[in-house]
Amino acid sequence: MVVAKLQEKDKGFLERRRHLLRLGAAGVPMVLTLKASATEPVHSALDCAFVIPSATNILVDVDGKAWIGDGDIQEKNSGELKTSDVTSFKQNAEFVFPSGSAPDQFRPDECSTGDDDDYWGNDCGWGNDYDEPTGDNDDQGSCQADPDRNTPWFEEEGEDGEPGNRGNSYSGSGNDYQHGGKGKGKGKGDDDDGGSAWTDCYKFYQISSNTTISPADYLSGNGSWNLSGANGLYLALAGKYLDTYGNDGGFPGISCLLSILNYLEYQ
Amino acid sequence: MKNVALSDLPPETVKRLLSEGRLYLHLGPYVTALSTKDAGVREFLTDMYQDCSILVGEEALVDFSLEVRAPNLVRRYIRRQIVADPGFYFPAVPLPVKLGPLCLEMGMNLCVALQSFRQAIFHAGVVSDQKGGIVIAARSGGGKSTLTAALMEEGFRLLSDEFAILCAETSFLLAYPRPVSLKNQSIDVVRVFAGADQVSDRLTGTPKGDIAYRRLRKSDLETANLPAKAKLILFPRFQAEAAPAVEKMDIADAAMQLIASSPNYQVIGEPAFHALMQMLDGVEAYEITYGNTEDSLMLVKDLWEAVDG
Amino acid sequence: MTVSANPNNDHWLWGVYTNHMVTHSFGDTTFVYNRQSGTTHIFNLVSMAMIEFLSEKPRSMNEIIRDFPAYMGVDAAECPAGVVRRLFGELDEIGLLELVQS
Repeated sequence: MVVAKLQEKDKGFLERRRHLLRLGAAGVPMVLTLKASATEPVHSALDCAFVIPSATNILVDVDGKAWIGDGDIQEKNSGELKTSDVTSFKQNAEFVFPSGSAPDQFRPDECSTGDDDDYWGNDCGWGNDYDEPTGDNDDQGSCQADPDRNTPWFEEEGEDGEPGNRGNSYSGSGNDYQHGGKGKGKGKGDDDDGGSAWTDCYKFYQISSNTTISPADYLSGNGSWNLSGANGLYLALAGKYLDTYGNDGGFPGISCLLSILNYLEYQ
Repeated sequence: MKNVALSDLPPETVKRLLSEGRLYLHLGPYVTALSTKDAGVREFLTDMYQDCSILVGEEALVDFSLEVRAPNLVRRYIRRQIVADPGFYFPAVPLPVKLGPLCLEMGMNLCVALQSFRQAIFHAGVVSDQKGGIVIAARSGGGKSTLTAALMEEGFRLLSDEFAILCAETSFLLAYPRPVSLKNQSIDVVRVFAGADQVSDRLTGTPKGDIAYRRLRKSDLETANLPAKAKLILFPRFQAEAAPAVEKMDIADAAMQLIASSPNYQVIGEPAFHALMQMLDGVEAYEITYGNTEDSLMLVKDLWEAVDG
Repeated sequence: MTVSANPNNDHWLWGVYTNHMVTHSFGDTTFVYNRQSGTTHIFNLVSMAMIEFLSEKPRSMNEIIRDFPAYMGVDAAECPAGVVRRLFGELDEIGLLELVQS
């Protein structure tokens, strides 16, 4: 705040202040608070929901890296995913989120079949970058760091992923049919089908078309998030998107989520 | 995705897209996914919004999703009713199905008022010319829409009849041209000066009396990407038989009234404060009292002539 | 610790959360946006003078009552303690006053 000196003022100015002091002595308030018609809209904002118009699928790896796209992936009963489908899904993904984006409960429990990133490329952590022809074999060097966060309350690890990251207590099984969508896959698979044709290093989540997500459904009374199911994962990633890119269109539902985060901010 | 005029789409395509919720109406800063199976709403939309841009493609990134539908299955067939569903709960009485167009318009207003999180919204009409913008603040019975429609006939371009949409970054007003909502006597007034063909059929028995819409102009749509810098804020007051009068307002009073009219000022927060303050630094505000449209036009023209370009 | 209920202790110094405030003036009227509450307030010349007075340096309640009239350019009779206390209360109620030392 720039505080201007008021000492050098004209006589009229001083007289106006005297007049206001007399009003003050008569009990007239000296501060007026504007009551914008905001309460109802804020609550309506909290009630907002958004529709995911077409089928949306999310692939998550053991490091919490996530890909969103509309491709399908074959899955065995054991939860293992067909590697060629995984490759194709990753290559055609509409959104890619860096490691640590998907919260722990959405990641595969373990990765016993090995991650074939040196084969598939394009993952931070292992192998060369498929998309980087000049590959330097420096795994981390070829991996773009997470963008800076503008929001000071963002915690990089542990609580990562929940929308806005301020509630900090979410829970969930990753497979909550009540909230729509379904979580597929499980961490440990067998290798009976041999080779790298199938992998247990990913979990695959599907959200069917025209699914309505009401973020407030995942919010507890004390303002913390309880994210579960495919829809919960979607919200977690939307929160990541918001942290990185802001409300810059591009990600369905982001405005709705922002309204809720703003609401929480003002509480 | 590509843009086409609504009138360029075959009727069966419009019908299909609407029934699938994939008619993406691109107006000013917003894309709205519209959904309805109601023939009356569809007819109104294809008529009044015929020159509007539609995003055509499998899916679009949208700001709002709005469905105009029956409140429940029974009311789809028996004593048919219709509601606007913007995707969040908002208390609203279902209307008879013949008022579908009103539902559509109210629903679109609701979306902008309560789901815009990048622009500060104030309840006002906005017109502009090369000098800048005139904000016509809403007051009950003040005649905002009639004055807005009258100024359109005087060569001003329409930015919005319902909302002053203030860009938080630039403090410029954004255009969101929609059909101008006219109530009761103002319907005939606008029919006279704009031409009967420029006004929609009258909807009778609405909660606000009779309502009709002044048709969108192609020129306003073509310039909808041009923002305007506010130069003048008017607070109109219609009083039958009143002599025309102008009173200069303190800008602080204008600011107070605008903030009070905003559905999202508090949600946007500090950027809205900055944008509003910056906008108000360059404007003058007046309360104008008038008894007929001619007088209001005369007053506004005089005030506008005095404004620096 | 409840501080606003009894601010008269001389060991308590009061300042202003200047970082919480964004101001914009139109003539004698100042719009104040409070970042912490998200609320916009309208200050007149007297309330703004108090903000500026307390922004200079933190003061005890007794100092405020004693020195504010002179800062305003009026004598104590024109700016009685009751008015100053009420103004102080109004500013404290909207969360702009900071207890800077105890």
